[in-house]
Amino acid sequence: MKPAAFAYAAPTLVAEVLDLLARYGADARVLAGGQTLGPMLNMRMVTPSVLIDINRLTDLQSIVLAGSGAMMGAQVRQRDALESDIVGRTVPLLRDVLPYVGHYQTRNRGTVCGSIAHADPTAELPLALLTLKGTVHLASAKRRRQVAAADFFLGVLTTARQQDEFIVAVEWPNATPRARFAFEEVSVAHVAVVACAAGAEINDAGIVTRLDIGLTGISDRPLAIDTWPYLNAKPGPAWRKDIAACVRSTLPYVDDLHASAAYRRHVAGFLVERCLAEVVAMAPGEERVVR
Amino acid sequence: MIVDAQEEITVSFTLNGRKVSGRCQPRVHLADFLRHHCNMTGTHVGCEHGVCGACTVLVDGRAMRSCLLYAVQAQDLQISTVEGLAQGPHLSKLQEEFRNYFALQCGFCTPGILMSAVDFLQSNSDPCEADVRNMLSGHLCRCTGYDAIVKAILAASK
Repeated sequence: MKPAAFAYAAPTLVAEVLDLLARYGADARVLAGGQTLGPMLNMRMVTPSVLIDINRLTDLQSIVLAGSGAMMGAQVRQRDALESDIVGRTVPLLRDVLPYVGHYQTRNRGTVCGSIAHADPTAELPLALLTLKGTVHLASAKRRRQVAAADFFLGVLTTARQQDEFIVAVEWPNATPRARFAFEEVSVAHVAVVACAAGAEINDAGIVTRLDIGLTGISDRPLAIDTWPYLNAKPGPAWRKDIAACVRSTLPYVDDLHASAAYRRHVAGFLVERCLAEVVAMAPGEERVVR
Repeated sequence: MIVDAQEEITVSFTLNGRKVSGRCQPRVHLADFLRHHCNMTGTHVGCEHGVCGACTVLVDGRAMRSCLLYAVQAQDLQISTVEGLAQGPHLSKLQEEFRNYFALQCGFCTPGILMSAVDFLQSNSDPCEADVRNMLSGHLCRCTGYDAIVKAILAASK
């Protein structure tokens, strides 16, 4: 399959990208790694008149520690994020999740910000950003703004990004020294049917003081649950079962050709229980073995 | 600068150590450029949407789908294809192990898998079977059942 004809621009400055987006907006697409946009172009599911290739930009390639989080520029490849010391030290959940993203060959080219921009409802990186309460940094010729992950993912391949904006970076909050994380996924051919990410802090008395749980693959976007009813508790088996029951009863589950809603509901509860058992069993800050 | 959709632009890059150049529209993907403009037909075109892995080449040393890169994006980069692996009549160690283990039948997927394995072995000096199978999840082979490919790559890593 060959893409429909498109005009091509390869700017070297962010300002040029913003000018092009201001001029072409809805008719343009930003090309980063192209590991999901490429297939859509080749299958002519999208036919932009202008492709704005950001691979020649020189200043969005780095991961830097900025105050409360790791700022990851638009050109950071998934493989580089996986191999980054900063990610390993400060965003351990992201390090756990990245091996599940695509394949070795697509991680070599695909970017972290590109996966966030694409907002596939089965993708692991949007789930991780939502669970960690990360932030998307958007820029247009008119303004720069930051959008919380919870407000960014709006539906299937749909985000809060406006047509003249592009994602210059995503910000991953630093894990606290007491934080523990887990990630579990049930997939078919490496595409998540259900995936769950969890983060928790447990104090010296064994009481849960912070809890974040997100799920994806179940709906049109990644979803986080309200965890406040489960704080200030001892994290035993009954506590885990209560949370799994809440996940099964309160979240929406889609039926599609990959799995029934009933199956997804069952698996979601199971994965939540498993993630919670993992975070409770870990010592604070313990490294999880990546499979 | 914007290249118009119908406009042909000159693309130059290093292919297996030699400078090549040709003219094409922006929509021509790298795999087609290699095959039709460079006459390097070792890179195979299978699904053309990034799933099968047959078109995998090295771009600045990293294994990538050449159907998901447009030739214009390869400007000034280093591209390596299966044609660059053997030295004259002498197969590379990886290719020898593919022969020893009968790790191919029809050979359609083989060039892509070889290029992935070159990158993979450069960054994983002592991989286990699970690592190799994980890397191979990015390739489809309908002949071998993968076992012989796994064995060949593990043997090449020793």
